[in-house]
Amino acid sequence: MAEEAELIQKVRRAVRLLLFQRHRSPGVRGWELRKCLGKDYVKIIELTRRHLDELGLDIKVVYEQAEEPTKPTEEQLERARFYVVAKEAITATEAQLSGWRVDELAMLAVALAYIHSKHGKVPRAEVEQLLKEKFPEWAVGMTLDRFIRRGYLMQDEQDMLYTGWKARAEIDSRLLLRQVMGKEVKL
Amino acid sequence: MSGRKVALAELMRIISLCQSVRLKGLDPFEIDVRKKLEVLRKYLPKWKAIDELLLDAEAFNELSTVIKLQGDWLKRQAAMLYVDPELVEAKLKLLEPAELARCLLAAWRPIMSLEQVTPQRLQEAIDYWNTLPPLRERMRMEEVVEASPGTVSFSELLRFKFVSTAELQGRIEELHRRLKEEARSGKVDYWDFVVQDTYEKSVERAYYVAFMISQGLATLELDPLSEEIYLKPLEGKAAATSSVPIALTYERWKERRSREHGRGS
Repeated sequence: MAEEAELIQKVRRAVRLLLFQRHRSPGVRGWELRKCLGKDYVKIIELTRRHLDELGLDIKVVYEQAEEPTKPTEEQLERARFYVVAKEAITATEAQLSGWRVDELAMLAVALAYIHSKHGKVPRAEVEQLLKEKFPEWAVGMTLDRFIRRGYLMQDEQDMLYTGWKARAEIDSRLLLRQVMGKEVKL
Repeated sequence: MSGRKVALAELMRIISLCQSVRLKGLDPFEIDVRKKLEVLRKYLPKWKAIDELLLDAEAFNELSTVIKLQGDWLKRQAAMLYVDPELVEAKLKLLEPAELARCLLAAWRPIMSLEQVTPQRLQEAIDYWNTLPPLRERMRMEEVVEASPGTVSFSELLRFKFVSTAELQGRIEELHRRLKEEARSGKVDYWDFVVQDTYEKSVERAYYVAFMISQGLATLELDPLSEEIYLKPLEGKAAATSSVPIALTYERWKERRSREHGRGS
């Protein structure tokens, strides 16, 4: 009985840790969870996931390396970031309510799908060229910079664009590509 | 162009090609690694100088990086069930912005987080506010008291921890040992002992000599006729009973140094 109460306490603590933003960016590192929840924190997280599932939420683990390991090691888990994400897709109205315009969503879709199809790295000029076909030039550069600031994209010194930490946490890139390729084109 | 120069140019071309693939994210399969390795093998017997061998090693290293990139490329293609990038680009160009937005929404699971103040943080904030002095008090100018320049005594140096007693005593003992070595005839000229390569070092030594004398480890002998000053090492701990002011000005130091140089040459 006491053990069960302790588990519930730990689950509550895990939810607080995962949801409450303490740093500039959300999410908790694995080592932080281990420090607060004990060495069997992975089990607590799994239990928390089941509770969150009822609320339409899920826990997403983003590893440091681009490829998600099939069997993560203890070290990989400790360095990974744990986030609470929506379990189901949000609607266009919900996205608009949180300040996203359709144009911005479309631009992010193009940038991420293009980067992913080019194996995760592409010159910024190429993305800009592609976006300029549908969006005004002044909006393209500004929006790409905003995506970089918000963590959806990353840019290096050679002006190469990559997928940012936020896109890795929030967007299922394989599903995005499947969606793009599966859409019927009206000619 | 000689055959050697052509070979070197070929090596440089291989290196820059590999680097552009690595840095610009180009398709690593654009490089025919087997062919490039054959080129390296062909030219290897020509290289004699260390720079040429290093260039060959660099080209080999770049090619091995390309092989790794090819492996990663294949893994990614297998993971995403290979979609031709050109096909994706064509599709992106054809889809309407609203359609593209819908694609993203279908694959988007936004992060959920809370940004709110907890009761504990609120209590901390109230405590901080209560103990914070008013701005007019915090901004009040500090009163400045003008003080004329003065000298710092040794006890003050000790108090401010510029010098430690143990350190000072160690230096005095070291200087006493040197004085005994130099004063084989029983005494040594004060200026010969004090004057060093630089003025700063000389002042420092004069300072320690003064301590040595006050602790009874040395004494001064003055010749009233020649006005020469001698330093004699002592073993006893009898403190000096009288004080002798000796000015060590920069001019005096310079004069002693030039005299010493003249003696040396």
